[in-house]
Amino acid sequence: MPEVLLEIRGLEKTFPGVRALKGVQLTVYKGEVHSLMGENGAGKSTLIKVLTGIYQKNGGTIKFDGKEIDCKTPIEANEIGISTIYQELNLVLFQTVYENLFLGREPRTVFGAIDRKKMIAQSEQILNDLGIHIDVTKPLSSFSTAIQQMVAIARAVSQDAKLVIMDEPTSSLDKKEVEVLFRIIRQLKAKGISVIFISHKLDEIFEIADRLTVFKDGEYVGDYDIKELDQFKLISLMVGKNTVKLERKKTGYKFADARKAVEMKNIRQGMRLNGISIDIKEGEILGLSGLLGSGRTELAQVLFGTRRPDEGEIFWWGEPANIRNPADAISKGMGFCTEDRKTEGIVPHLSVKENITLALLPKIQKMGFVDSKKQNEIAKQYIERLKIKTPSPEQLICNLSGGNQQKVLLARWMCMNPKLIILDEPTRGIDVGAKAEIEVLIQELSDAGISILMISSEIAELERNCDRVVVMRDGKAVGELIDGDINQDKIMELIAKGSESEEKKNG
Amino acid sequence: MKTIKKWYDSCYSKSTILAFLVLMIISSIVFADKNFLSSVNIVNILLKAAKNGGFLAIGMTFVILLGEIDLSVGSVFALSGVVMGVVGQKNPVLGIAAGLMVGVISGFMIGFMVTKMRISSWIASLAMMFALRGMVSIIAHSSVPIENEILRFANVKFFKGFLGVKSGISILIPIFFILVLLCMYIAKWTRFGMGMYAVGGNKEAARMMGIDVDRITIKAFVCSGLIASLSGILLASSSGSATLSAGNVYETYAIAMCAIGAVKLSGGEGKFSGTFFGILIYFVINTLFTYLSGISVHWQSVIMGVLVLISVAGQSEMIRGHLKAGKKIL
Repeated sequence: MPEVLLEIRGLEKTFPGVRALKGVQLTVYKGEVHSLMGENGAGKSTLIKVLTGIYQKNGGTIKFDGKEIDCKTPIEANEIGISTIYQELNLVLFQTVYENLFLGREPRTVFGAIDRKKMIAQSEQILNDLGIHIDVTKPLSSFSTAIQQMVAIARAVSQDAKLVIMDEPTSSLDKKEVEVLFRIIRQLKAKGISVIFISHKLDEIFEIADRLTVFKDGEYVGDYDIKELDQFKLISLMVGKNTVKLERKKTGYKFADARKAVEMKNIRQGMRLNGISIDIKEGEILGLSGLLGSGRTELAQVLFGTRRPDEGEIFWWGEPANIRNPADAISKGMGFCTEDRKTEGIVPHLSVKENITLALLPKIQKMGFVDSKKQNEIAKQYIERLKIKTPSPEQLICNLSGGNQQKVLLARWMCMNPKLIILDEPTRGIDVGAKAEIEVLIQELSDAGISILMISSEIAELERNCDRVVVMRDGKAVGELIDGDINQDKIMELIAKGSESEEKKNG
Repeated sequence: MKTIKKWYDSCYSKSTILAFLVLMIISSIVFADKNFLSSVNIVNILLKAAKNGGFLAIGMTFVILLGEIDLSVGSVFALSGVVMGVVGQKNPVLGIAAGLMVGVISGFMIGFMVTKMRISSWIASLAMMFALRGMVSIIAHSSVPIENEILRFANVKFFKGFLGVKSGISILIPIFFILVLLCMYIAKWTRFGMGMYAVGGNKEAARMMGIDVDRITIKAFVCSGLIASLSGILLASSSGSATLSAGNVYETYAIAMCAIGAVKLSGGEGKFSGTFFGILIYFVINTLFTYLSGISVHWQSVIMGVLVLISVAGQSEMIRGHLKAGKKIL
């Protein structure tokens, strides 16, 4: 039996109003690559942040290398041998590679000056050991993200890290670069260094991980040897089946002959979208399913003009749509309720009224002044219609619950009389009652002839609401389900099979 | 030739140096009749730089490299001279020390406000700028004459008649050069210098790497203040009087010189050598305007404004270049 390096038991973390970690456990052995799996909100990143001292735990124990630890700062965690490679790299891009390797612990000459020669020589040594041959005197910014990541790893290794945590290290790497990263991870393994590897790409997990732990909604689901699992089993563990079966109310697909509101053809964008084509019919609720990182949000962003596609065509009611920015999309009649309400949706210190009419302002102004009478009318009308629970239209939106904030955002687009609304995770972080209300609203919009593009990682939600579901994986559409075929098993099957069919094609 | 090329390639402030050379060549051709390249003229330009804000720009570079700003340097410049004059009437050595302490204390206070109280450096140093400017007039009602021999330590000139410079070279010029070299050394060869670039480039990353961000920030503001003080007492000492309006709006000139010197105002990138050439460009243009008697001096302001804009635009171009290069490799 290999030695245990990290042992977490009964870890608790609560934020005001949310219990993010509900007594989870994690065991990592020496020299293994351990993957943390789970959809958004599963608690992976909270766990990492507690482990590395960014958050403080509320309960439970963390044993590292035989000793109980409780890191108060990331620096402390670093000192005992836990290094984290973050998604946003914690390096200084303007400085050279070797400076980045030695910042904070520069060797000095007998005269007290920085010993640059020694730093350069040692940096070359460290990087050569990892099989990376680059000019260490160049600024870090002149290298690709992959190399920058390698430098971060090299820094960790040279500080005698026992555990290296990589949070989605491959999200911005291409295939070749991923191979280089994997080679280095295997070298770390050979040196007896453990790696916690977080990725949403299942193929990568199956290639590199030895074991994995699955979390769901802040709870520990189980830990597994990678050999015991196949992709379908892993997806069902991560997504989990709803024990309460909410019935699908819809029957019959009515949109076979409906006009196409949107047609996207062969869209490619960076590494996220790899030639996907979809269409959205008039009045239809189209669901986009797929695991995190499959390109769902990116596709919506391309449609809405916040992301420029490298390739592909977009048609709007049959006409080529020339959408260069969100303003173009809005003027055509689109609305976008983003995934992250807090940073991309609400303006926290404006009132409910102002938040509702924000996108509408250009239409209710008179010579540059807001027509406040009209503004009040519209705000009141939507507060009533959507049953937004607020003491008054003047209330600051940040004082509202998540569900009500989401309704305000919906109202913002509804009052524009849109033809298409994109909903990215419309019910995330919203309680069950409000969820049902929002789902009813979405259906009403569809009945009124408005097309809906609904992105959700909750498969049950798609099952309940959508007329048609497109399943995505690695930036491609891997299947489409209509009407009665939309159910959790079939969707998960499509996600899991996506890679196999891909391999067949290539083979 | 090769070593020159290598040296040039390693310079971050390439564009500034190039701009400086172009400016010098054009000026020497256009103003050949004014003896633009004469030693007298060049010494004159350097003296102007050393007297009127060149020091302040060097000090300002410390805080700009951190992504901060120090608007107090003009006021520190004036107050240091006046404090030296007033205190120095009784004890000259104490006077010099008191003058220098003005910058140290004000720099420390700004640094403290920025790090421990989380006040923006714009506001902290703006407050200090007003407060110290007021104190200048409280301490002295009119210009303070500086007559004591010790206090006039900077009234020294070398090489009288050398290279045709009859009045000699003021000690301010070698002090200025030594300061620039010292700062270049600090930036490249000390932990403080390297830490400064790290904090300016990515404050969070620096913190995570175990760098004491607060300490470095406070040190940088103290450097800026101290250099401003040094400049203030040097001017008072060499000219024989500390005037109340000295250094008025010099902080803006200092920022402009840094910008022309390709020191990135958001921090992390730039060199003291860049600022040095930025200062030279500034004062060369300043001198050229004295030749153009027919043109209003206000055009100088316009030119400076345009120049600052061009330099800053050039900086963002550079960043785009970095990104491009990053995509090609591997």
